[in-house]
Amino acid sequence: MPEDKNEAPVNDLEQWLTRQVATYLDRKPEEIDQHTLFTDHGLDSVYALTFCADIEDFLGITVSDTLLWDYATIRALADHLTELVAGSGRQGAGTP
Amino acid sequence: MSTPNPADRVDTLERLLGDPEDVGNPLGYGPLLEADEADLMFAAGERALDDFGLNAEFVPSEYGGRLRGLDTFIGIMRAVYRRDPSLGLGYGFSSFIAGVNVWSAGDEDQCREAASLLLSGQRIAAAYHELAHGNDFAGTDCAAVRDASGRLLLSGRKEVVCNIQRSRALVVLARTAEGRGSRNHSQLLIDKAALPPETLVDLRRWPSVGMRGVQLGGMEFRDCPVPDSAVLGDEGQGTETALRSFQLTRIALPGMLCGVLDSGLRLAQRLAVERELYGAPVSALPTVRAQLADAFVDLLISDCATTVAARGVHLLTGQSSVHASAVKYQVSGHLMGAMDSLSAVLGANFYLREGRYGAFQKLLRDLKLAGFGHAARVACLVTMLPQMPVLARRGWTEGPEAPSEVFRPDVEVGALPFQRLSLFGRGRDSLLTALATGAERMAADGAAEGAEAAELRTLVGQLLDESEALRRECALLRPSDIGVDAPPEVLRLPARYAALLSASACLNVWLESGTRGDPALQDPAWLIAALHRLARGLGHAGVDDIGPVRERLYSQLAERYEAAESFDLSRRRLPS
Repeated sequence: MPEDKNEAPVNDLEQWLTRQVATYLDRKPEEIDQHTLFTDHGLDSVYALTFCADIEDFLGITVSDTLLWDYATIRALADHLTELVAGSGRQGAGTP
Repeated sequence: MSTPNPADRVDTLERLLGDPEDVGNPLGYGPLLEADEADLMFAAGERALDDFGLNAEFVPSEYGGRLRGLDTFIGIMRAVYRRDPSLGLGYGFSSFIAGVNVWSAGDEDQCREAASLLLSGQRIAAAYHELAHGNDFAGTDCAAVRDASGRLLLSGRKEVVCNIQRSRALVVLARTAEGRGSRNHSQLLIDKAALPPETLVDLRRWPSVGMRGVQLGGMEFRDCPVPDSAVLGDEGQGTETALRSFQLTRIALPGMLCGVLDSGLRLAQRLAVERELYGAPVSALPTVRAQLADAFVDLLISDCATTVAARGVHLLTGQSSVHASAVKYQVSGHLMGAMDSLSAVLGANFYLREGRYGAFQKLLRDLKLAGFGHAARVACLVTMLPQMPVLARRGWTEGPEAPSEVFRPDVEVGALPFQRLSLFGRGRDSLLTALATGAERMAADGAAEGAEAAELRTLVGQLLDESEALRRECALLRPSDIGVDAPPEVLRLPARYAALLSASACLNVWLESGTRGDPALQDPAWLIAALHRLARGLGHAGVDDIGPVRERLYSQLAERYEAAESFDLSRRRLPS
């Protein structure tokens, strides 16, 4: 699955997630790799919970509070969220 | 069906334990102190709790026990802590901690197994702690790894764990994947009797400053084969289960520990009325009366905060992650501060390990656990901090309205909603919102009159100003400010938040007390004193002269002492 390191974000959502993570870590977006585990980036587990609120506000959906634990890289998270948003037209996205 | 109601159960337990100061009582302070001096659990006390069937209080009613409301559980355990905190923790609370994780994540068989162990009087140790990692769960080293045949083998050490040696079963937090991720640990419910004894090696006992009788031991697992049926929930769910379950136990612990201050106050008041100095009882000294009254207020604040947080678990779904850390931080501070202050009232007597007031030093030592046990105070702030910016953005004054039952301990709540605990409050906090709505209601009701109404308006005004200032500061927090390495000044923000939640709990319990008919609770004196204390702690001026209110509170305290009543919200008649 992981290909090149630090490849460019593939879409807007991934770009936004990358910027958010960079802000959290006080680093530049281009230093954030899409395939590195959030915990290896230094995002603490409790801290990761609150990231969910940013995502909810940005996408206007409700997500599970363990979202970043279960989709633990930017790429995995972006893929999952893309599916959620696509599905949210039919029914409420994610589990509350 | 045949379970007596909670208040009757507490009365039964108190009667069983008898008057602690009666020298002829085998369950009194004398024999209890002897056990403590010998670093032993209080055997007669444990037998009494066996007779009472205390373990049934740890088991949900659907599995044959008596556990339903968290505040009810706290009330029953508070009676045990009022007598001997070592009994509270060492008989029992550690089994409750393990149990809650089972009820939260276990399947039907696991829940039945745990229930049957507890109901037959056996213990389950909560084996989470490793000396090298403390509150840093992600660092847990003890590991359950699959061998070539796919069998889980547990190896590593758990240290300073209550009752690990004498328990029949353990709930163990073990690493099931490498790294610091939040899905890398699992909880295992293991029955010691079903495993090869050579793979479970008891470590030594750790002697302690307080709760000296509690058996803090350790265990080394040596390739211990654990059946797959031991895993609670899914593999990797261990941290999540712990973070959910510990919301309950972090609310319960300070709530139960209110019993320690209740007894400490009784001993201090006893000295104050019995001992003469300068030709008058010590209680004639204004400073002493002020110290006693302030400690009484600390106890009422603590009881309001924990009672409301406990009822919030049932009635404010998904919001308890912030409340649990807040009360663990705030209440432990009030309790320890009050006991320290009372030790000055006792003077040299607090330093003696025997005699008429000898139990005080034990209570003081035992209470130290409140500061670090089951999450250190600073760890509680670190847990709250990341939620502060979201709260500032979403909730604060616009949270969903709290139902009035949250503030009415007289109304029974249903069974504990183990499956509805949320890791994250999503920026909503009905308790904080209730500070503002409570203030509006107070103004509209005219619940207090004259000078007291003016004092309450002043205090609530200061607290609302504080709330708004805090919201603004929290909204400015940058993501890089809120990690575990947050600077001390940033950690003041969740500390201030915790104080505001306590203020909201006090205000609303008082507002609802009108429906209950306890005249002492309806008297605004305690509320004025409580809000004054909290406002001062937040750097506000409070009211101009708290003196008269303090005097009134001291009289109420003295009245309760004479009537052998507890000093908490329940104002329960105690054996004398």
